[in-house]
Amino acid sequence: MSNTTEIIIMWAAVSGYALSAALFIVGFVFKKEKLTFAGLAVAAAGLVPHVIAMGGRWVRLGHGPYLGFYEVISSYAFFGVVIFALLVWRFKQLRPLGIVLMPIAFLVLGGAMLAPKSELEVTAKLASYWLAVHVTFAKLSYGSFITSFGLAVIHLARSLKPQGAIATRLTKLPPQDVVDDLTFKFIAAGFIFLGIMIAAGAVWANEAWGRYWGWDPIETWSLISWLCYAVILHLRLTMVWKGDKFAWAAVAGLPINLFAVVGVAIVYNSIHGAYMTGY
Amino acid sequence: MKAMWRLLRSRKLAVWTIIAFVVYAAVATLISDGDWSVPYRSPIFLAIAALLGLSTFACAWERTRAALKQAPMREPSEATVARLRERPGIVLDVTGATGPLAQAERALRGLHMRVARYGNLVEARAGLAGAFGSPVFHWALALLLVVVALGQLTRAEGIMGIVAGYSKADAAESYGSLETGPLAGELSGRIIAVPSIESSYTANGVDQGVTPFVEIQTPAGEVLASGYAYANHPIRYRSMLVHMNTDGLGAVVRVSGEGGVFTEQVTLDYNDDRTAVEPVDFVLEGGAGALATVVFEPAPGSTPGAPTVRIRAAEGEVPGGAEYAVDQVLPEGGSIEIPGGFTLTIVKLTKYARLSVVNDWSVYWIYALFALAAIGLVPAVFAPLRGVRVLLVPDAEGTRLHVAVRHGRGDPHFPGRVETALRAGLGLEEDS
Repeated sequence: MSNTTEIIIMWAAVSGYALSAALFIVGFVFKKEKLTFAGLAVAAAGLVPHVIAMGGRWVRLGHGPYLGFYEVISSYAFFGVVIFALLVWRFKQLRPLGIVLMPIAFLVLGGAMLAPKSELEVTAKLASYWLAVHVTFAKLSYGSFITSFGLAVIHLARSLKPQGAIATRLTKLPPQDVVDDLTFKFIAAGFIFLGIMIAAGAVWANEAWGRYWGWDPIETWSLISWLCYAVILHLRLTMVWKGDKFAWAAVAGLPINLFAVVGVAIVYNSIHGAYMTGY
Repeated sequence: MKAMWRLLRSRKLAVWTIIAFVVYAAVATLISDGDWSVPYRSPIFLAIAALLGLSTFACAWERTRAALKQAPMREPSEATVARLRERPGIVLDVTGATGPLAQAERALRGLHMRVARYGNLVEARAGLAGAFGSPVFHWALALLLVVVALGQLTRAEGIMGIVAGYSKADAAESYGSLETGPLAGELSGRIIAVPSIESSYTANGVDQGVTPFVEIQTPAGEVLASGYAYANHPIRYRSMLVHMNTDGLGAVVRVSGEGGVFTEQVTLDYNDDRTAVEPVDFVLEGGAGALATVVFEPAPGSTPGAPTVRIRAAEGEVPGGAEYAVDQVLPEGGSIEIPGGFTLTIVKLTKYARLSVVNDWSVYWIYALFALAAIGLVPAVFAPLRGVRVLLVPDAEGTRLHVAVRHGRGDPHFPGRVETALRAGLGLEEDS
């Protein structure tokens, strides 16, 4: 698949996510439930061109979507929509989560499309199977944390103004305690995935450089992110934070996590940041 | 002492220590520039890390005690039974049912719970792995902190340059730079040999560039480990890891003078963008105070196929940029008289490999503890200890089952699942 074809197909995915976001929002605002079903169907349809474009690029360049801003961010959007689709498949009542997640997916993928689409090659340093483990668990963890954020936002939206316009439009969602429990489960899953990602990175660093930890900013911020979620889990499991308090904590965790994955690579001049900005 | 222990096992201390660690690390990334590890050698950071370690130990101890107390099936106390009689979570009317406790037992077994009967009471438990998962996770983390600290105190890491076809011993004098922990013992004395260096080597479908074949040998020359060393493919023997770092032009020179004959490996490095090789100078010490400074650099027109080296030399220790008495270009095998009564012969002129040699016993233990922590964490979070207690309460109005349900994580679905299972087992209507 040529570069031009890939970009055209990827724009189809962007358009699909944009339409899905619009359907969710319109359906939510005007209480048209059928539109949210349509939004879900369009989101799932958007995954098709997205996976074709990513797969075509993978075949052309000979590596997965983990080198350069465009590939990394695009794959995060993909994982986010996949996790959303799986979640709704398992818990149908969580469909309104699309009001939060689909606009994020659209903006993230749209932002990636505006970035340079550098075709970076796998260098000798990157040619390791630990890279696959590291990147897979990174994407799983960020997908889990973004989902927990969306669930926490919904919890807070219903809880802060129970009779408000937003809460009344979210009455078909599962009860608050179920949303709260799901938020916890996604944070716990993300915490485990992030831990495995850090461990895989440490093993890889030891194979590549002879040291498992070097306090490089992205290593440090991954640890900071992991420890922040460790605090959130402690608050839940030992200090019994539930409901709004826990939802606020879940909301607060995501910006730290996003800074660790995107911000650090851009802000700091370190060997690790190259995965976003090119080697 | 008791107060100290109370403080250490405090959950608030654990949370605030993690927060202190996080704040310190975040600030450290803002103020560091270049050498990112410097702030983590400060006493403040070490104190926070030590407190975190102690708090994790205390936490692990407490959680182990709690798991040992909660996990086994025991007959509940009178007070517990009385509480269930007065304040049940779920009440099921089983008036007229035959053997309701036996049916409740079967229903709970259907939920994959271990069940025990104590008179009019049924006790059920599940999630033993979850009960011990949290202690396992915390013990693994506490030990991880200890192993990391011990590893840092005892590790040795250095860079040594070896000319193709030659070797060096794992000893302090062989390294260009060497960092050892304060408690590191003697270096191993093993021989690191580079029998050959390939100009190009393809592995995993990627050209690895200049690649040395490396052997780790005993001092007697027995090969312990060998292979091509390239990115992500170090040569290892036990805790020793040899990585390829970079390459350059290397020479083996034989120097003879009044003090005798010795052989030296001379390594020349490329500049940062590998467009030129930097000159290197070294001082020769002969007998009776003879001293000479020799500067090596590739000669103009030197090619990888036919390398030549420019040698400048002067008597005594000469600062850079000084006038040299000798300035000559030599090929491999060439020989030259230099001031101080020395004769210098280029025995070999070829590539050299700059190798990073690390000896850190803690690495594999760290991996194992990571794995143990993950193994403990999964059941602790996703399959925690669950308990169900069912009490048969007959009175004048009929017979009821009082049910108490406990889920380690407070899963809101669990009481509903238990009630549904019990109702199905007892043949009760959903709304009875």
